[in-house]
Amino acid sequence: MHDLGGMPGFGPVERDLDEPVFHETWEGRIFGILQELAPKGLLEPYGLRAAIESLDSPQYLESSYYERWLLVIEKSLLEKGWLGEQELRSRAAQLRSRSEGEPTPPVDAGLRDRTLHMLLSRDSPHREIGISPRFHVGDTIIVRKTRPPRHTRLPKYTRGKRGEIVKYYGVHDFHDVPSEGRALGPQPVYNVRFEARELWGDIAESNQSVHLDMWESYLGPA
Amino acid sequence: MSADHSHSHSSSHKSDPALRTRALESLLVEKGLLSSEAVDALTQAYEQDIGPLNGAQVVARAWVDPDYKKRLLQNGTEAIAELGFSGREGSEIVVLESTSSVHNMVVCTLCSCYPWPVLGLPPNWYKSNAYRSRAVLEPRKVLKEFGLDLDDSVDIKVWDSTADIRYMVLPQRPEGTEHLSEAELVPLVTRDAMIGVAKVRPVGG
Repeated sequence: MHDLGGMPGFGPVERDLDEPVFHETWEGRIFGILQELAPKGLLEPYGLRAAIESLDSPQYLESSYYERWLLVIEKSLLEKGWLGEQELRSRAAQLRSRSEGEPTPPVDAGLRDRTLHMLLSRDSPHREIGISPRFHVGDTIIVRKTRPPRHTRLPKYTRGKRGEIVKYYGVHDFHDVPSEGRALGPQPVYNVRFEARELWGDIAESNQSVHLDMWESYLGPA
Repeated sequence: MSADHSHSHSSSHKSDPALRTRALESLLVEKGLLSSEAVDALTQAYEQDIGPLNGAQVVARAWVDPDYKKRLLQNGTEAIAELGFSGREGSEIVVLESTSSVHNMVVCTLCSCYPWPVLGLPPNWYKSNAYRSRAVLEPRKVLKEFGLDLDDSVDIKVWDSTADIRYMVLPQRPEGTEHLSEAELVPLVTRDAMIGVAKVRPVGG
């Protein structure tokens, strides 16, 4: 349900012209809670995206963005035994009658600096592994139509389509989770360009292309 | 994993998210699994310190300094880090130059991938089902709804952030800004222009 690229039927994009970063206090709390608990393993082994994708379709479509996060956090806390269902219910019942309390004051400068330092610290998606890329800039490829794995970063709208390699990014970690068997290790990643007409046929707008970043196992030679 | 787990929560999934959040936060704090202050610091970081002003500074620098622009287009991550911006959800950032003949637009159809170090957290519309589905399918129509009517001769490139690379648009410098200093250019650069759903308006325009 999350694989929405090209899906028809959605109307105008609704926008608030001046929206706050978090529309509700609880959204900010959920954001922060996830940032804190993810490094402690809450969403292991498959991570946040795979967890959200495993929500059933009605839950996915009916929930707002941060409601999906809340759902997967609750699920993971219970499944991992970090919290119990009964205690969550009782606590919610206790808090129901209590007001939310004052907005939180700014944190002290030391904590602010340490937090920023942590958020700014650099990582790289590159893996220095001696794998030669199979494809090169300018090659035409066709996106493979394999059985969809449990979690993938390959949008359905590209399956079976012809595209052109426009950039090689090097070897990156591969995050797909197979439905069975072991996950594949790091692979070459390419930026691939698809003409709109190739993707959408006659309804395609003029002079348009879509670029996607694709791991090598998504691609086959033309 | 079976779908059974979802049923035990279906009774609660429509109930008050604020209450559910307060309940789990207070229990996690009691059990020593979470510090509320750490959560405060994280929300405040993205409310106050990490936002589109970062990206606007990158764009203004590129507009006034041709060597910086060259470095930015060659290796976005390093050039952006020169200004002190880096880290989470931006381990590799590619900067896309829009011109009068090529217009770049960024989306994440699968979820909400977005270059946090330069733009902060994404707005709701970027994460909406409508934008995610339509940006790749009919970008011209979407841009028109956003108030940007591009001639048919303009090449539109839509970048779907499917891997770990994050994208930011370097919008065109508007006409009539030649006399402005770098600092004066910064406030002109909007978040929407750096996502690619708007152009930067000229001063007074």
